[in-house]
Amino acid sequence: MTSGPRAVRSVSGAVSVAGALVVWVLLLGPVITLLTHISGSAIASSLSAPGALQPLVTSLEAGGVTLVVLLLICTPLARMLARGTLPFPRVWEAGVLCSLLLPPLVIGLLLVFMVGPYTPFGELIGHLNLSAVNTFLALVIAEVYESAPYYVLGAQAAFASVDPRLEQQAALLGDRPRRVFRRVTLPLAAPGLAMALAVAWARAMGAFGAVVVIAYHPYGLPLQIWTTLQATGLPSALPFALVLLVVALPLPLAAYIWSARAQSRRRG
Amino acid sequence: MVAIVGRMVDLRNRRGAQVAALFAIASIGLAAAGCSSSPSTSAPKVPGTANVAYASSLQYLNTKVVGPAFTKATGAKYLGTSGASGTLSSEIAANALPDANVFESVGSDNITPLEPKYTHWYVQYAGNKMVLAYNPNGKYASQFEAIASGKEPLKDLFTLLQTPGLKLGRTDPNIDPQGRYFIEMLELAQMYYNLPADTVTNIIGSPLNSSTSSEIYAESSLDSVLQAGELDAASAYYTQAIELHLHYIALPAMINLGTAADGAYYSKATITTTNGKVHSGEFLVFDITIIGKATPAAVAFVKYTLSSTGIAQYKQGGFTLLKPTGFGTGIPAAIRSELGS
Amino acid sequence: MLRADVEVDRRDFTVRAAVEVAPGERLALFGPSGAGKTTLLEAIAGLVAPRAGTIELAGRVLTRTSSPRVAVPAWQRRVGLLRQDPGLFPHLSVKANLAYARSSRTRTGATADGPGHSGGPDGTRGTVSELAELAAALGIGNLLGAMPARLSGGQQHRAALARLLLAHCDALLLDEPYSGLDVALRRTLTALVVRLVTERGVPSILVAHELADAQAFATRMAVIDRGELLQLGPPDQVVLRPASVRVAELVGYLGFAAVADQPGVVAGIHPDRVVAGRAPDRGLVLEGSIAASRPAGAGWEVDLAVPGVRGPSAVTCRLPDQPGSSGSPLAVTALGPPLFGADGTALTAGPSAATGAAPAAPAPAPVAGGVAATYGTREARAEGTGR
Repeated sequence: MTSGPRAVRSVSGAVSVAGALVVWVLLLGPVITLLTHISGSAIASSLSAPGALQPLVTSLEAGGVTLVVLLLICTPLARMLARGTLPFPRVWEAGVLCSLLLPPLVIGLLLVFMVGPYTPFGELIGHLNLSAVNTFLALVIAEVYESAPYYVLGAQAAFASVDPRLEQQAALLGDRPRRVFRRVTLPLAAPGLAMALAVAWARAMGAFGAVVVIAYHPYGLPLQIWTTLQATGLPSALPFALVLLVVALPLPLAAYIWSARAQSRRRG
Repeated sequence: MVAIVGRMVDLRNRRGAQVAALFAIASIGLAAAGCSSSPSTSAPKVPGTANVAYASSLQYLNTKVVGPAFTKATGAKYLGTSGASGTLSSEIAANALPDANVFESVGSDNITPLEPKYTHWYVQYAGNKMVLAYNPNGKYASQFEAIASGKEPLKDLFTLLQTPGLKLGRTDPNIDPQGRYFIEMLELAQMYYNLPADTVTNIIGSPLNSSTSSEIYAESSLDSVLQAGELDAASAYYTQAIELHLHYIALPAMINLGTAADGAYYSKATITTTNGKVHSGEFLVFDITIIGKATPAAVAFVKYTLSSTGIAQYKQGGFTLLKPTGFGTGIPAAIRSELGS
Repeated sequence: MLRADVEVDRRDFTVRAAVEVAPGERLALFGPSGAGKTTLLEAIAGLVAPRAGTIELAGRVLTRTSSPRVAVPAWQRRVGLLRQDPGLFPHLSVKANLAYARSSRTRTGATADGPGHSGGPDGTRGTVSELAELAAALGIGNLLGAMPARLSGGQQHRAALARLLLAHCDALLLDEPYSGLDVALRRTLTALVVRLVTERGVPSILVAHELADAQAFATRMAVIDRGELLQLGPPDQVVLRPASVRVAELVGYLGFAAVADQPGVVAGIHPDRVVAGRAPDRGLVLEGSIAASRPAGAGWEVDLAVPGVRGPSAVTCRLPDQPGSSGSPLAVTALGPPLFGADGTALTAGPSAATGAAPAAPAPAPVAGGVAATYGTREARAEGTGR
């Protein structure tokens, strides 16, 4: 009597898992293609060329700086958006969405108008012998612009998931606001923040549209792939795509694992 | 601004072209099934699509002028993919542009690597020349203008370009032919005007074939940055300057790579790219060829381009007109009839 | 001593209340949902700012809207708040939760102890041994290493209570903390809180919308409706002698019978204060027929249709014995019912809304009219006015 419904349940369960598997494999299509089209010799020759690994270092450095910048300047904004204490909250959110909606290429073109050498900003830093076009600074700026909206939205969701009554309780137990943030808000929002940073990292490492316009130099990995493709063809560019994948993956994966562990620790 | 949008759209089309090609193939199927929907009147209807990969300096011309006119005249559809000639050549060789059946390249250097697998011939039909575009609102605008109008001698340009702090823009010589031509032009100028031997390196830094100079921009964004006013001067083709309404300084025939007769002189300037290949200065020509099988649409497109109508459109765009000359073997008969006129 | 005299604006009305709670005294705020009770607590805790008024605790002024203005922030008020959601920090173990205030208070402890403040037994605050003792006393001593998610509802409340007590607050505010827990647990926890609060001599306020919870906890009860404090007094007196018809409705009077010879006067009928049979010397006799009956607890709830009675269509009473069938006649007596005049306010002398004065003895009142309903005292009968 019970085997009938149970069998149906297990069949439908199996079908859902199969469906999910199909979608997952489709999403991984480009990665699978990459792995099947690459040859060991191509990897060896591309990576052993002189200066071949410099763009990797540049990408990592720029990505790291970008993450620090996002943490410092975007976290407070996300917190205030989550708390709902800003006047006209819809306006603020629309603004963040606008910056998300602009295609990276357009962002790059508009950044030229913002930070090019003859803009007020460009002239200001020009006095310090700095430039925001075709420099490391430009690379960081382009990566920040491409990844910031994702981080802000993710961090906002993370802060919004913290029950404000817990913060009230902490205050009533004697903590002033900064301590409440440090002892309650931040630890509770941390898993969500980690995920938001992981997404931002992925966007920053893969940033191309804005980078190709204002930060053609110094090369990061995406530009290295692009120029290698143009100079010597696709087969020699693919190894760098593999490098990008291998190098960029650990951080978000670690963030995901840590976040999952923190959640399960809280479940006791 | 139109050009920026035009470039954006076409950069999108690079990959969107694949999808669009699928639709094109579907519509070919429909046409074959007998559903005729072409509104073409008296022109002979050519089936299929001419899928053209072309050097980016031809973008405005192909997208706005030649493409639509071709479709109207022959009924065949037109689909274009723009890019640096070198990149397009690599992509064709790697089979990353499987639908491209016409290739318009700057210089034959990008076509010869595709022989004999993809083609055996090409036709030279139009020319271009180098100019120096400048920012009319920049710090050095008045000096550039003085040189452009002839008030100052042209050789002063190359001294001006050495000014520290002057923002010059160019493209990567290892990837983009224009990057190489710019350097070759500078070398020719140094020879022609008897300038000090370090003039070129003072202008663009050393080594000459470096890809990492901060002057180097992606060829798709160089004009945009100049137009945004964040460069003082940039390398440009004459046709680009016309199309985008850039202020420019015309260069003499001996250095602007624009005259066939001076080819021998041009070849004195050389640049070695990082892959070891030595490129010598040459007359800037456009070569057109058919990639792979010569479909009716591809043949029709080449024929149209080389016809008097097509050539007239090039002339309007500022291109130098050449007598269409064929190189190699196996040129389709329909095209051969357009040669030498 | 906790003193609060405030007006707090809410979306639909303003909460106006003045309460005073001495150390060790327990005040219950009773009223329907949305009456503004939580708002009052939040104002005392410093989570909302009153439009006008003053709040004082342990000799310090916490809030004053008139000059000189004072607005002590929530983290310096030393007020403890226990809510329906125990609010344990999910990322800290139970022990870390309990010890939470230890580091904040001793750090910021710049604020001096006010008079009447209760510290730990040896004057220190929240030491480790005190934590262990309190946890053991509350029955959660073996749960100190666990995470809050593992605790049952009752255990979480006890842990939250312990956390508050270890914080050595000057006042304890409880906002319907036991909703959702079963009756036995409620009783246990209420008794626990009463004992601890009395031991430490801390003024406390409990918000309840269940009368039983309020009465079990409080030394005095305040009835609040739509932001107004309607009556304040000992819990039994507030129920026996409500100050107005509205208060009577809130504390459970389900019917109002007109009284003979006194037009406009009604007597409040409470289901728990009704006995079967006629006892005119003890109260108001009502005669009617049984409309419906149902078991209630260990007795019966009977709806009695009494002609001329205002209120729900029948008078509800609780009787120990099973009533007859529907439609059969039944006479009951409402014991010592409170009387209300035409304007809804109480006629019998009782605790006034403003002070906590002792109640007066029920005064003699004339007979109910309309039906064969009588009311009177022995004295009145002796004088011949009763029957």
